[in-house]
Amino acid sequence: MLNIRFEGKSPIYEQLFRGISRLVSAGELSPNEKLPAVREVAKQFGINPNTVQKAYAQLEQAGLIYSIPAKGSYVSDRKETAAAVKEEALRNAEKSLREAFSAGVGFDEIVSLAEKIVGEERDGGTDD
Amino acid sequence: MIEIKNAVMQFDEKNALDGVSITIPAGCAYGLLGSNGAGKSTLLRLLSGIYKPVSGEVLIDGNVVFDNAAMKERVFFINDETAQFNNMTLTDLKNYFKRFYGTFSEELWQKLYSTLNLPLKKRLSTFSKGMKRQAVVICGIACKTPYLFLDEAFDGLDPTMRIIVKQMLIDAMMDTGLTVIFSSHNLGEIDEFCDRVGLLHAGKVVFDRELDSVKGNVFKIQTAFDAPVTKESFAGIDVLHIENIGSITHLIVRGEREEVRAAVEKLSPKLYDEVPLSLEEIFIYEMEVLGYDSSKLG
Repeated sequence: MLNIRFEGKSPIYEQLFRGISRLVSAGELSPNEKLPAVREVAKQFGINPNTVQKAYAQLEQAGLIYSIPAKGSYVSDRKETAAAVKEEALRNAEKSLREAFSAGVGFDEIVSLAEKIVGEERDGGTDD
Repeated sequence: MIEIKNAVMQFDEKNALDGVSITIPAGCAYGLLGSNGAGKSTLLRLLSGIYKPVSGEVLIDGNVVFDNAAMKERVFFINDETAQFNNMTLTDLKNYFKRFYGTFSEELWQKLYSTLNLPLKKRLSTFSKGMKRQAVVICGIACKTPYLFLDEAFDGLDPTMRIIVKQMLIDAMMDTGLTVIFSSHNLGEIDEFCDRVGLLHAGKVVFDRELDSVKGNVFKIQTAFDAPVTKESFAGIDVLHIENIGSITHLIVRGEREEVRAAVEKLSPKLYDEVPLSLEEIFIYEMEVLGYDSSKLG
């Protein structure tokens, strides 16, 4: 069972992609751990198997998972992959922060936003 | 593959379908949306060979379905209406479909039946709406047809049953490449389960698109500029809607995320905030662009 919560308005495959990326970078899914089969994920969330397939294909393209034909998909053991994902996220955050500061957003506002997001992520993680 | 080419259907000289063209690839889960009277059920009846179109073509795997027994065996239509089965018991119902569909699997039926809690020996007239639905759904899936059409599929099913039915459909999609069409007014249900979505309105197709391309490609953007802007200020992107509220400009834009961002950033915005839209919001804006009054969609 994947510990992911679907909500919001972005496409389901994107949410699944982000959800699994998060589980990998948070260490909830360990390197070389087998991911649940497409059918299992589709059934767990009541979503289209083609959508799950699409998310898995993109995760594989991003190097976060690898697949062994007729066996299934596994979490990549390349530490640099997780590091690269973090680095890109940090670059994006920096860009957004610069924009926010130049638009006149205050430092305290950013800090309280960060606290709010962290709180939500934590709730999202324990809630099933 | 399903090909509907310029299909027209009339009742009492009134067009129920007015030149509908839709192509649905094999293995697709297709969501058919529309208000009451939009033509959803008529379309499913055409696909099931119950009606013959007045003009145009309705083809499944390249063959006409109407008056074609071999093709009718390849489709199963779960109708909104189940009154015709009222005198049957669940066992009668199973045997009825078993006679008609050569591909019926007793083993699969037993497996599906065991997940439910339905009496075998009571007449369907004593069943609730949801129980009748369940009875027909398990028969439909056990017939193992390559095409399954569900009219207002999840009506009368409680949330647990919805999940069970979806799981049955997921198995059929993965095991036999089932192509399934749902008609519904419930956007949420379609949003989760379908690959493609079609919206019918007054007998015409308003949309027929891949769901991810609909959802991933329309954004609401909140931005602000020093100088006032209009739709025309944004070269190369498709602005569906623009509204200036105070110093903030709200844009509804269709396009690739990066391209949209690049086009807006050319105008040096002081602020750029992108918010995805719900399927419902997208439909409302797109309908507006096409000149439909979305408030009449119901």
